[in-house]
Amino acid sequence: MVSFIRIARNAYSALKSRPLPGAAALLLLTGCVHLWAFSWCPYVSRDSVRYLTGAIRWAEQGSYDLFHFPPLPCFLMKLLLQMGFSPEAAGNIYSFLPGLFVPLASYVFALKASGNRRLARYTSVMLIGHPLLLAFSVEPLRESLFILLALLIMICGITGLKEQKLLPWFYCSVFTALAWCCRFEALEFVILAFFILLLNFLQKRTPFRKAAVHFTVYLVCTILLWGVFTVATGGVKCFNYQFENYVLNKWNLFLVRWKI
Amino acid sequence: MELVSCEMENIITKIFHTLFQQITNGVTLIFAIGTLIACFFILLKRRHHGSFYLHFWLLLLFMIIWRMIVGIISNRYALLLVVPAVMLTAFTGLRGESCWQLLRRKYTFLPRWFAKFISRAVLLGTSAGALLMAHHALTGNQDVYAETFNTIDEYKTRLPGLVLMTDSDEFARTKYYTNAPTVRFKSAAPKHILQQLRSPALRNKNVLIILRSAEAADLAIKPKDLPSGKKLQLCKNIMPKGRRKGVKLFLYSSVTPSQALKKAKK
Repeated sequence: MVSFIRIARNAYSALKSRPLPGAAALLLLTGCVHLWAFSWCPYVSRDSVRYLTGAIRWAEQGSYDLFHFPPLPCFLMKLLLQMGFSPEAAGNIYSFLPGLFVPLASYVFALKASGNRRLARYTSVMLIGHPLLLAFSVEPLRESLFILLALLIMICGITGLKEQKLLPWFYCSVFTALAWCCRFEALEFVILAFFILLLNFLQKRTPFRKAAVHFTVYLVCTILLWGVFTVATGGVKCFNYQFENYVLNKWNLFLVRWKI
Repeated sequence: MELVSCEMENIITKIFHTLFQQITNGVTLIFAIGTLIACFFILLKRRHHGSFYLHFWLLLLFMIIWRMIVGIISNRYALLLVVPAVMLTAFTGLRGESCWQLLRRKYTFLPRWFAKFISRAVLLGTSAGALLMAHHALTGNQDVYAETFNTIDEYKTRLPGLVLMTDSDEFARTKYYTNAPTVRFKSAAPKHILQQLRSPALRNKNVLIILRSAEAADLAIKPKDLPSGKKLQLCKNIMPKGRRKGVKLFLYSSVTPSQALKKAKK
């Protein structure tokens, strides 16, 4: 316990003064807490079992049958299984690695969004023990990877807005496509990018032409890369299901919920 | 008119339910409170915050409205709101510190060290609270599952060819951890369970039934209704330890009398 407090204190003071050792210390602290959390739950949740068994079947039979879920999480677990890891180890590595980088990404996001280094430091330290993020980091679910990709999307989006360059929007589309292969909710970011760029244009921060080019590049690259990633991961069957299962289901849910 | 007001009430209830129950559960209560306090601070001094905050607020608003429209089925849908909520909680701590400094200018007798203490207390308090909540949430049902799977393993060695029967929620996990043939039932109603026990696939098999709901604990099946004189008995009810609220599992065995006898002799 004493050594844990010492690590935490060193990590915090390193983060305060120097960025690179600070980042390393933050990763170390996150890693310690998340590894400790692995001992709390030897049995994974029922949804995790679904992904694990899906990946095992994919590795054994060579075809993806969980096509109502986007293929990326199972594909990554399948790759780890093929590398010789046991199912539990593959699931743990798959969820632990993205979870490890979430506080660091949140530090960069908070710094970019607020410009306040102290606020960013506090945010990243507070996120280490967040119950939901910790749970996703120790269980083989798709959320750990999704939240990391979402943070990267937001970081690139903010950079693109601030610097008004095309390249960050391209990176943004890469992460959105990957996030889309992880959870269908990534669709939210496309709509969000449209509104943010529209707002920037209305506030006369970005000229119309630039905003339109940035959004078009973002949208086209996202759709193309999503197709490429889905085909590359072998989850082509998801194409039909994605529209049917997510968009139409959400639309029906919306109609029922609001009685339209 | 009355119908319109009823509809309106319904919509308001749904909005409140999404905002104060589902999203609050998703981002966890500590950070939801921190966010609310931060909103109050920002509204008080809204002119001081740069226009970039406008984007941040619109992002947050859009995410909340999106979730209200499409609906939240599980806490996971509120996952993306976690980072802004934590950021705003951190902001609360820092704003508390500057508020204390403002107070100190007027009332000089107030201690200076307390300003830094406020932000650090928010940081440490929320981090420790969140970690404790995470520990509670993650360890919640683990002892119940450990005991259940150990019991199933014991039965597997005692009764060869044992088939497990459970609901759709527990099906995949039970099958994965026990490695035993498992079938799922559509409902925990005795009528449906009995129907399945009488089916040709299970008629001559020893079956262990795993039930989750407390209502189903008194499985009202008479011995004469069971196929080939089988005996149905509650073997174990597994509760979470201490005062925890969590999953309760009830294990019923439906075995042939000869094997029940063997079990009694053991």
